[in-house]
Amino acid sequence: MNVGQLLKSVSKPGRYTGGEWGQTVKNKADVRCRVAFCFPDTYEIGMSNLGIRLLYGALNREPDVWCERCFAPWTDMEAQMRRHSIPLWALESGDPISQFDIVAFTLGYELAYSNVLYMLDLAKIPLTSAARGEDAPIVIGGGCCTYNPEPIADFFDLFSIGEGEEALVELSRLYIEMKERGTYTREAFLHAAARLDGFYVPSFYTVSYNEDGTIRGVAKKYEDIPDRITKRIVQDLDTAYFPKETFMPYIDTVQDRIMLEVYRGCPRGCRFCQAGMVYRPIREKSPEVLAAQAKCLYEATGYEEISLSSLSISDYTRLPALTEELLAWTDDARVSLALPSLRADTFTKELMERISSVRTSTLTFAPEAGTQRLRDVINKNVTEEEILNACRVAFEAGKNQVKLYFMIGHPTEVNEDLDGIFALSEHVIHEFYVNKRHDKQIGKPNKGGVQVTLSVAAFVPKPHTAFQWEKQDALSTTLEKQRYLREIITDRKVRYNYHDAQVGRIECVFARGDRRLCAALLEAHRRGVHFDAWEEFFSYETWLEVFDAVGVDPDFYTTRGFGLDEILPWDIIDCGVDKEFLRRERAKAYETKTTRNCMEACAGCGADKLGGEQTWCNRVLCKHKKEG
Amino acid sequence: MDDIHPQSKTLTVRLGFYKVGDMQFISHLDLQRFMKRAFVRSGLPIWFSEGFNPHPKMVFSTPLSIGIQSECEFADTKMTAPVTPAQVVDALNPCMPDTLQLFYAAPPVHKMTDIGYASYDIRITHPQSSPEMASAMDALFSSPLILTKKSKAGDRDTDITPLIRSASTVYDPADNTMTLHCVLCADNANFLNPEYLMRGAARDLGLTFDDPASAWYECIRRDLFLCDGTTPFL
Repeated sequence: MNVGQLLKSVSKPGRYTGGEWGQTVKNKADVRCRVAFCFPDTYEIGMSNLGIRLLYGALNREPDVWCERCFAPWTDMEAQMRRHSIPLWALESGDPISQFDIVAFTLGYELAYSNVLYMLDLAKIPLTSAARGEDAPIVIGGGCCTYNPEPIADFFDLFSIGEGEEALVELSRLYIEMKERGTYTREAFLHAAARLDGFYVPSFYTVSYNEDGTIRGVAKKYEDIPDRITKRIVQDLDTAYFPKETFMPYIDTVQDRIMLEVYRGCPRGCRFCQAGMVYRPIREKSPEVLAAQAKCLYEATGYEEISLSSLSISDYTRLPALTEELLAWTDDARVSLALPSLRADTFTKELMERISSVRTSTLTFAPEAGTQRLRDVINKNVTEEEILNACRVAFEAGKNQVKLYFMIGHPTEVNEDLDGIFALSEHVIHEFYVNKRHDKQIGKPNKGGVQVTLSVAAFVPKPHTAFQWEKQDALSTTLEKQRYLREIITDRKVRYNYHDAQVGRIECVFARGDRRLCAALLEAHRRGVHFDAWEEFFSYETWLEVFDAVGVDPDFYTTRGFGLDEILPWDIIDCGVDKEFLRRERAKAYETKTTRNCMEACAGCGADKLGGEQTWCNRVLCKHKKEG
Repeated sequence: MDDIHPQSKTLTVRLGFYKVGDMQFISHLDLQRFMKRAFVRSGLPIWFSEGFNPHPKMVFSTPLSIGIQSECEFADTKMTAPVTPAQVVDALNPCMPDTLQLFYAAPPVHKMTDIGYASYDIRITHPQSSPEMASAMDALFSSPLILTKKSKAGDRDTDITPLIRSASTVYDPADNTMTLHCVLCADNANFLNPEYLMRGAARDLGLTFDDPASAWYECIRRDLFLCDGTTPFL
């Protein structure tokens, strides 16, 4: 029985064939380090990930390194693999990943942790670092979840902290060098890797705990490894590696288009937002470089859409120049531009006109909180007036659907803030009808009515944010707030969606957890937990049983809140932003004071110590020096 | 070589291609998306539809289920400038995998609706293969065979044998396999998916399966014919 025969008996066989246009196949005789790049979710989701495309290309640029892809097989394929004893394989070669030198997981959300164990198990690789012998692959993790790697520390030999394009190439070079010199042993390699910038070997650090369960301290195994691991960044994005071609899925995936990363970081400093902190300092790319890269990728792929991706695209300082360069050829080539992360306060008529080729009738904005007071607390720095202005621009252009993202459970939230969510929706609807009259005058009436969709998530206090010490609302409180919102939303033009509060609680445990959660993950795996990020598989009850079985109290990580002087599980990771800055930001939140964004004034977050080209830090700090 | 319709504004080109190996697992819709992008990469003067969402237009011949290979697929597309068939083949083939390659490009001869029949080879690897089983299979397809056919209108019990123009099975002792060569109706109103034949065989010939989901045959479409059952479609 081989993989080819299994393909006829599973749904969506195109997930498992490999052979996509643009994939990299190498002659094994030329390869000295084989990397399996694993994504702990389905093919469709993994193939939509920009990070995989970058790292795949960066590693395969090395002539003697071969990076292949591997995704979590769906449960029908899992059943066939177990039945016929076929271990998890990589798509390009079809070889079992247990034979690879490095098995790398990208970790984007906590609920995928159970799938890491699921994939290791299917691959027949020992689940824990301690159980892996000399011949087992080195299992490494990277991605935004590794800013708190502690809940999964036992399963990884190594974490790559921060941006991986250069770090992973360095790591594979170290591996090849030690193998060739004959100095490779697992321990020696990990020790050498731990001395490179941005690598964390969890087994070299021992964590001790106080009687109340908080962390007492961390002891190092070797003197010459760092106390804290500072994340890696790419200094100059203009000259950084960028793939000139990319693999293209045959089957339909979530995002199947050119993804053009315009800049890294975000100047805004929302106090709940982890991405806004851990990707600092902001580094922009030049419009000319971006335009050339877009053209190059278009010619290599034939994609019909370019998505300008960044945390807040309208904050890109040279957006007009970039859109001009792109529009010079995209219209003729019938290529459309998508700007997925618009901010209401910078969404203008001019911008709308530039992206006239946006095909959907929906625009999405994220006020995140229902009242100005609470928006000030979370430092969202967007006003109701700005949101309504943005909606007006959209309505005037013929859109009739607006999606608004909110979060409930922010620190200091009261019922009035929940009322504000509905009130804001009503004001948006009012804005539409004012415009409808206007539309009739210009002979372009919007068909039908308006639809405001509210997507309401529950707040999770994330590591490395100003709110990292905060409590999460108790499950009963979140459910009560969700019920309250359902009751007050009486307008049928408002569609109200909310996230599963039980999922939010489990996510919070793993976002803020320490190493004692490794036992919980192992126990959950033993009970068959996988595809937790999928509604049809997530079982809250199972997780409660698991926590009970291994003696973990979920409230310790959720509703307890963390002390300001407590050693936090993720303190071992230095993302560039100072803890002292986060404390100041937290204090300002409680005083309902906002902080200006990086473009206006430097708030002194500390990330400028990491350097970087085309940063706001340089510009704003220079300006300050001149003024001061 | 002569240009295709050098005078008209848009030129219709019929592409003949095979879709084998792993490409058998790619649906028509996914194939369409892939080929559109291959056209863009090839630099051929592909015609785009007008309107809000411009896209190249492709019309495919007969349906092909996922899991069936083909040596004989056709699709029509339009060009905005004169190109020779050789130019189309030379430009497009390097933009597609080995398992999806053009063998033909020319102005259409027949209408898509002229297609009447398709021929298939089905190689059966079931361990119960034998000369007797091959004869039993031929007998099965020459007497009425009632199967539940799924359609948009609902499930219906139908005798599929009127849709079978010919079917003959050869046993190969060298590797203990049987190959069924069949010619089946493939016009719009009466399309017979070859998998129905295998479903009938699995049900009525006493074949046993360890794992009901496992693959026990491979199917490949060989030719498309007009309504006379012998003239190749071009």
